[in-house]
Amino acid sequence: MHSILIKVDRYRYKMDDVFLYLELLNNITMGIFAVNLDMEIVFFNSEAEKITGFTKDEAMGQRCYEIFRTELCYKNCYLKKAIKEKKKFTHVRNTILNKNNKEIPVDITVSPLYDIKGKIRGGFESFIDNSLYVQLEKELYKNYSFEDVIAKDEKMVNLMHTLLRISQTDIPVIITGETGVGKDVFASAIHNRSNRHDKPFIKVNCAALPVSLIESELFGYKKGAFTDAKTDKLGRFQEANGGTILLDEISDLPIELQAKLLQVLDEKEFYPLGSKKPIKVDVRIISTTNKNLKDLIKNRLFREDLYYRLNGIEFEIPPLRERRSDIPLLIEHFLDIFSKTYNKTVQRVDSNVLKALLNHDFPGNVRELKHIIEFGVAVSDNNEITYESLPIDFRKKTESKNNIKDSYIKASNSYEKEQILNILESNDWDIGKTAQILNIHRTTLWRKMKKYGLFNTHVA
Amino acid sequence: MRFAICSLNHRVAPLINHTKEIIVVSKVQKKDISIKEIEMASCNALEILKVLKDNKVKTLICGGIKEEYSQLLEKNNIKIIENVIGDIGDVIKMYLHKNIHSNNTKRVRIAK
Repeated sequence: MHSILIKVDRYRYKMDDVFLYLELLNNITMGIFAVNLDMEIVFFNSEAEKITGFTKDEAMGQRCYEIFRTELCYKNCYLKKAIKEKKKFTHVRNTILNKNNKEIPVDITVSPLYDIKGKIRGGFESFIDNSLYVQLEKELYKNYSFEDVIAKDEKMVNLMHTLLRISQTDIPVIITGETGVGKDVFASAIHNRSNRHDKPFIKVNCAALPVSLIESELFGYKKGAFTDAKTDKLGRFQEANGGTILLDEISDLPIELQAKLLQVLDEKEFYPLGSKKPIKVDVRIISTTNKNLKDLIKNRLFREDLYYRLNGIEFEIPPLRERRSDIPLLIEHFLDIFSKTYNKTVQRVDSNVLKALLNHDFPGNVRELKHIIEFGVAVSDNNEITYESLPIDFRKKTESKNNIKDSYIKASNSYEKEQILNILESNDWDIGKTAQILNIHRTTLWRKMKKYGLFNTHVA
Repeated sequence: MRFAICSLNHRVAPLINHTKEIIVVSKVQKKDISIKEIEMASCNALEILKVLKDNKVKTLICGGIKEEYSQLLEKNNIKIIENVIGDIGDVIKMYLHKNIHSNNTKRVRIAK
């Protein structure tokens, strides 16, 4: 096959050779399509079908922008540009909307398409599904959008609609919720949807910084402010100027710094350490915490005035156990991600796994589910996660919960059996009287007696 | 019967957020059809919902639709017929002849 290809004269294609090329293009693991000068699709390979969800039959003859549906199509179409400028563009990043209306990040390469006389006949585009790469990038830079929030639960959907409304304002936001619910994902999404999205998004973890460093970290310092201050240092607030600052675990901000933060909020300016000149900043503040700030205020650990200044809007992300209907959706999402990460084809979890996951309380929330699925995909040998391929810790918890449930059922059964037996004996095994005392129907009593093997052997 | 189509350059907008006009079609009697074209200054989900509600539209025909739009519209009881491709005139004709359904999305090919 290779020798034939090499020997083919560039300008004299035989029909067999054309079929050979088409076969080759169809089997390549990269989406490929070609358009004529009217931007109508004239070639669409199998991988393009897989990535877009549209069949070849559906796509052929359609205008490419009506199949690929990207934001760039109308504003800055690289394929059109390639045809017009007779140039090749490589590794352009774009996002298509597939047939299921899911956004798929792609990496595209475009070039003009010539006929054998060297005349431009259209354009040619190759593209690969870049989801995994983008996902890793998001994890690395914590750069999320609302599309990254996987939820169908009504509470979550309502929450997202509220956030969509407030994201374009400058209202300070407090996000609360248990650990692992995705508070930072929401914070990043609010920033990326705001008018400040092209400005910095700076995250400060108040719990991770030593108390002695927080002030200089947040507000910076001037050269000579202390022994080791050899040069001026910008604080996080200055870095975030024009954008958004995320104060993660705000509840851990030392009380003495809370006053300084209050000053930034009130006067939109602050003094770096060792400076007599105030610095003006325009920053939107998003704070997150897994603690109850009102309780901290009662215990004088958090300033009430600061709380009200930070709290333009406060919302709580519900824990996963309160939105169990999202579990199957999240499982599907993580299966998709980790199958790509580990180069596997795990597409589902078996019914026992689903049952165990739906019954689990997820103290670690979405993060915990994510780790369980990642483990399952990593150790799975086929296209399904079985109960045996779940982490041992999770299985132990599930089994002990089941054991408690079983022993409870056993205990209540044995209590009921004893109670029925006692009443039957004290009423000379009179079914009618016993049923009356127990306030149940005679047939129900018969059924229960049969279940517990209660028969009056003396009468028999 | 009343429905709307997201339009861009006289075709179904490939992406709902690229909608330039919303075409509201009302069939009053057997053959009487009124068509209203509403120009959209911006086409975020809330704007589109507002236009549909103001015009008492319960069915929307569109091309690609992102999650945030479909969730908001569905929550407000708007039936969405997605993935439709084609010329606005052809789409109106096909929908009136019941050739486009929401559960079996049919794409409209351009008459060449």
